[in-house]
Amino acid sequence: MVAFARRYVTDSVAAEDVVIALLGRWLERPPRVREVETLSAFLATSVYHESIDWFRRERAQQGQPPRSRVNEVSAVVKAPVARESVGARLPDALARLSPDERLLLESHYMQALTTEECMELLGIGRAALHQRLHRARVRLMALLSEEEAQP
Amino acid sequence: MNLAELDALMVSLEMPVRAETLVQAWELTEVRRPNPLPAGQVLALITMRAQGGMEARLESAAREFVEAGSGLSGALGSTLHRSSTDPRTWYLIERFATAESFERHMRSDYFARFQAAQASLLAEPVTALFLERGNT
Repeated sequence: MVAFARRYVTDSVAAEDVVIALLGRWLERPPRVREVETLSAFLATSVYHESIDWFRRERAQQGQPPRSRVNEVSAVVKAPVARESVGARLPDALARLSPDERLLLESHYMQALTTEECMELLGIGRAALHQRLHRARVRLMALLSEEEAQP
Repeated sequence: MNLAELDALMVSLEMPVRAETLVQAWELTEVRRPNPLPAGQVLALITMRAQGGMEARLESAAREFVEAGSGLSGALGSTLHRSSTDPRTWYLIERFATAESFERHMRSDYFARFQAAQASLLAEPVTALFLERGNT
């Protein structure tokens, strides 16, 4: 669990803090995991969300916006699109993407997997990955714009 | 909307990550375990507590001992550490390739010299722990 948390927080100490906080909560209110097969999904999602919460708290303490781990993007937005309206349309748009496209976007925007892991899982090289990621971004943008244009 | 705007939005909206992606990440996460101590090696933790006012002399004698032992065949490393809570307490971690090299270390002249010096420097006898590395 600590090794997994380490993916999403800044260092090993923070990863341990994340897992200790999670285990402490589970001691107070034991979670219900009915099937052993779902255990890894339960642990992965729990640790991931706890790590993201830790990350948010850290940024808040430093007086930074909630999340901007893709550093280069924030400065180039000239005409901000309404965050709330896109947020509402996002689930439908994501559902129309292929699993591979979602995987690439989850890794690009949320660091769910490393570039090397994506390359391994998809069986492609770095250049192909960048091409497919670009196409996935373009497709998501088109889906969101298409839904935006609908009444 | 352009790609830069999309990127900014996706970051600020915190795109949801599917459970199946996290399971893949979970399964790809490498848990780095320490290598077990190679067979035959000896790892010892020596604890020494100086008499009041003798801390500096004990440190000096211990450093001389570590330096002298570093040239012994089979000596893989000795490091001296001071307790962060008790400045009179020192720890010596020693690693040897074999029990035989450890025995030669204990029969050496520099070992005898350090033992003799300890009589006037230590508040209590040294303690020696022999360690195995855990697998967790």
